[in-house]
Amino acid sequence: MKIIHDGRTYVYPMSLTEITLGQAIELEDKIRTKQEDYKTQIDQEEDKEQKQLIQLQWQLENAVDSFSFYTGISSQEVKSNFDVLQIVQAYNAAQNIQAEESKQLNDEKEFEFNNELWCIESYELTPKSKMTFNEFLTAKEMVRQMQELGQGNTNSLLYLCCVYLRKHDEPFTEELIDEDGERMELMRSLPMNIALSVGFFLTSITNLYLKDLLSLREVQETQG
Amino acid sequence: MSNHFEKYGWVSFLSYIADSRIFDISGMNSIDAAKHTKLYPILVWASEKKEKEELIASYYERLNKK
Repeated sequence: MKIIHDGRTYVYPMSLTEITLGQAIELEDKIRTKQEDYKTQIDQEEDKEQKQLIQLQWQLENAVDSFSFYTGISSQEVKSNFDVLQIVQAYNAAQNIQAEESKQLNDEKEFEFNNELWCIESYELTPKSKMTFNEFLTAKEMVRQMQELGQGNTNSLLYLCCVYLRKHDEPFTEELIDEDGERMELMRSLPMNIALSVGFFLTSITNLYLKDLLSLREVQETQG
Repeated sequence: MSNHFEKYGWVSFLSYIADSRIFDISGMNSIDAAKHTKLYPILVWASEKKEKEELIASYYERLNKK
């Protein structure tokens, strides 16, 4: 969506295809503390009207922060010089479009990205399955550590994409999850529609594993 | 036990597999050998072992009650 203000044109992304995984992580990190504060305020507030006011304020802050982040204009300037109603409308429209796109994600396994074909290898757990213990272990341990450190789910998704989204027949190596490595940098530029497809696919496969294997059932019970 | 597993997570499971030495590969230490092994046989082995240990524990529990 293009927004014109003071003779300049600003672009605000509406679709998941226009937002990269790296951008989603940065925005999540930027607003995490504010989100937690608002959640706490809402939980602690008993008065229904006050609760609604706080929710409205939270929605307004989300819209301003999101607009500020993607356009590069400071939040202060957005609040002072822009029609805030227009910002909120754009934000709500983007959220609705992205929610609809998320619902349409299916268990697609192949994607075109960076002029190459990428795929999530078939991870059906059979005697012919190529997945090594290291690959499975690395992904699970990274997600666990991210959660322990209070990192958002989007950060975990970056690591999962590094492990599971690979070029055809590319084997897993630990270099793929090197924080300063080329792969991690490339995955930050992954469009969110592909990143979320990877997450969706892995969620359904992980549930399958946990249902079938006794050795993993204890893990499921321990981790809740 | 659950606190230990919460803290060490899947790394704890790796050390359990490595300690068994079932999946050792010549020229590699047990940890690296376990990591390089395919996931399927490891999980099936661990599932069978867990079930066997539970059966044995249950048997001795019944013996102690007599």
